[in-house]
Amino acid sequence: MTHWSDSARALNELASQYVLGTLQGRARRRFESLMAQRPDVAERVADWEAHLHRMAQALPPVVPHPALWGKLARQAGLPADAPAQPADPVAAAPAHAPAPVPARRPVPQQPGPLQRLLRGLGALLAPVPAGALALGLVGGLVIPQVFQALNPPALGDTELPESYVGVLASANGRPGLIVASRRYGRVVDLKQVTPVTVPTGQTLFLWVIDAQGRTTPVGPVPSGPFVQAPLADVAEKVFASAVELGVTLESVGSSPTVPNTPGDAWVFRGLCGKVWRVPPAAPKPGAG
Amino acid sequence: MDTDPLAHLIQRVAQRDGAAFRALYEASAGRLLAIAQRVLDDRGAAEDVLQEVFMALWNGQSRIPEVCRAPLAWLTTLTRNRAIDVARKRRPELPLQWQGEDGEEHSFDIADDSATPPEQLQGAQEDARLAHCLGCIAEEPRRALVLAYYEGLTHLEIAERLARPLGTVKAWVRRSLLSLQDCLQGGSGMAT
Repeated sequence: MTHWSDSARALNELASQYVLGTLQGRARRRFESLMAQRPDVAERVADWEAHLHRMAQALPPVVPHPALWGKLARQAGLPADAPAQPADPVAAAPAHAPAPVPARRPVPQQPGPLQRLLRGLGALLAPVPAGALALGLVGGLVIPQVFQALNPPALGDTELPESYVGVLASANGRPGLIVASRRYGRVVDLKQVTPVTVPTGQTLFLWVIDAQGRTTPVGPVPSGPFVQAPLADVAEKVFASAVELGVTLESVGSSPTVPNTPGDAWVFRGLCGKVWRVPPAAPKPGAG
Repeated sequence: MDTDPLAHLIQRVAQRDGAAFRALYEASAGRLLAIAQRVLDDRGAAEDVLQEVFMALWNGQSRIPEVCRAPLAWLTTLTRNRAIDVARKRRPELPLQWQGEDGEEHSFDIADDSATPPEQLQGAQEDARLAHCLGCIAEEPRRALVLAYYEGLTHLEIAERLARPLGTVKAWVRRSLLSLQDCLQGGSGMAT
């Protein structure tokens, strides 16, 4: 007897019901996992998306409230007046004419400055000898040089948006974690170079360490190869005093919710730097 | 997919390109909000859905599949699925129709004075081929199809709304979809 996943007719019907939204619960999840593994199934879904999309296009576009873009920009850590890259006016196009693709300059698929930085740092950090302090120091010294090597900036400018970047070592001195946040952003990106196992009931927790060694809690961060966490305030306030960053394991659901002091051991710790040009100090009156 | 400018924008958004994010929003938000609002019948909730969809693209949680012929259609599916999830969570567990202690039939169904989607389709004539293909489907199966698409109703909810057996509704939806597919694929010579 033929299994349903081998029947072209069954797959076509399932693809149609999936796109229509009538495939529910476990059936929907099983179909999604099959779709991820089978290009032929994904093809059928793409066909149905194109068919039923015509029904969506029969609806007149609705102009979003102007505040919606502001919310999105804030959440993404972008200035609300971020300029748009020129795009085809899909929203304004006639409803029946989405298929023809207008000729336009193809957008090159290049990684952004942050991806290039992280890639460069990853390559540079790989052979660094063990030792958290050494790694932290190397990271702190290397960051500006990596920037200049990867993206020679115009005078007074950097290609990467003004950002805080931390390079943290694991407890055994291996390259551990790269932390980045735009200067005025409200989220922090974390790339785990060395994976860490988080026990059940605990979470990774990010700390700021100032020049005097005092710690300030930032917040819990998810564990994963490349994750993001929200900040309670703009990065400029959260990381302003940071000379180092550290990550500990803290209990989930403990009281107080935000711990006052870090737990027993640093899972990751290393230097944090401001990646933007600071104007030189004005000469003191009468000096020189 | 590679020649579609929206596909490039979506890929760049996944790389945290702020200008591409803004451009993608400007190019697609109006269309996506229209479908979310149609499913949810709630402007605020629809804008919340739109926000979730765009942030999922920005955070890399929603990635454009390798097989994607029409990126706007893929975005529409993402938005519609999210809106349907929200709508299903909000719906009361009570059936739309029930029998009271006095034996009287009651119904939550309220007549909508606005034009129904098929009427909008027929009236606007924005997509002649789609309108033609929908017109080839018998009235009740077509109603079942548009209720599923525009309101995100499940088979059971459609059965309750139309007061028809569940099996009948399932068969209607299945046959309507296949009929639509045949018509749209085979109707290349039709007026558009």
